[in-house]
Amino acid sequence: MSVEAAGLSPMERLVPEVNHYIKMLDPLSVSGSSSNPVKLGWNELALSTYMVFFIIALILVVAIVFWAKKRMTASPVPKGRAINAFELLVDFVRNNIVGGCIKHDGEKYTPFILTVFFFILVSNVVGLIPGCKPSTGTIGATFALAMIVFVYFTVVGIAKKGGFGYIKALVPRGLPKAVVPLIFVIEFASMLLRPITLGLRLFANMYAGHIILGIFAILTELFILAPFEHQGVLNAVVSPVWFLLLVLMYTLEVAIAGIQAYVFTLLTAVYIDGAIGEH
Amino acid sequence: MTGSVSLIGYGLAVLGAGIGIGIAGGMTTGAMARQPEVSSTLQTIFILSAAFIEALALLGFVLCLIK
Repeated sequence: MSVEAAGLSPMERLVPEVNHYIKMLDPLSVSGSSSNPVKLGWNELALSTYMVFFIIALILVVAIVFWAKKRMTASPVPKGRAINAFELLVDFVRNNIVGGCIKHDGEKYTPFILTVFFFILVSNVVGLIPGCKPSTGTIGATFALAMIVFVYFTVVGIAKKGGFGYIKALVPRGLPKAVVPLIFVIEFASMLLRPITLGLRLFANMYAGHIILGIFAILTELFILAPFEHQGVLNAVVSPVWFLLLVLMYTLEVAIAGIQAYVFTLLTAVYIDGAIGEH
Repeated sequence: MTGSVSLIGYGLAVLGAGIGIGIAGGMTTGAMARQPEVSSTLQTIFILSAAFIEALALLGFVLCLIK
């Protein structure tokens, strides 16, 4: 059987399949809207799959929080594993993140930090279900979250110190006068860089994780289907290796989902503390 | 030469991240061996540092896929 009649080997068919998969993950690829788009000025208003999962994550977070509120107000000591798990997460954020980072008046900022944590956690976990996408896997959603955090800690800082006081507090006290303009420029630039790095870190982790899972799944499928394309039965025997790698990467992705939510929330708390800290 | 040049960029990006997280892990293990009672604090700090460094490596991975 000649090579041309046998077709391409599974590894050679990998690259076009992966490119096709990455193109499907493009947030601009909307589903079924090109026939009747809604015009908004000169742009089109369309619903991409990421927006659908964003709304799903939002509804899930609201449902979980209201269910928890009902259970916690029903009895002083809630019984049951789910509500205790929820309390565990809330206490973890309150004690370790808010308590560890924000020195004064942590209770005022706890609701916002809890909201950020739970939304990112739910959104990442929804992305782990086969067939669903994480809504934080697109740069638009994570950048929006990072901008909300940026606006929040800037407003909090200006409310506490006054507009001019906040700008003055960017430079630490006790520096020689000659160095102050340089330090001010550096601090200001690093402050402007905060929402960018915050959003980019979360986006890169979720997007890359989803692509890696997709690559291993595509490899498993290509290797299993290889005997049907006359590529040799040895390929199908090797395919459980790819499946094992897929399971291992899935485990890593579950850990990354929680860790990235924790890192985002921790950095939010650190920036809030930096904004309201003593001058 | 066939293949894509962006893979060379990804390899260079992940080089520093691999070394950085390796050093962080090694120092964490050494510190945990010297003082086992602060083990949980050290573990938290290690995971945090690894997440920061890995963000840069993953940024390189993602940017290499954009054509």
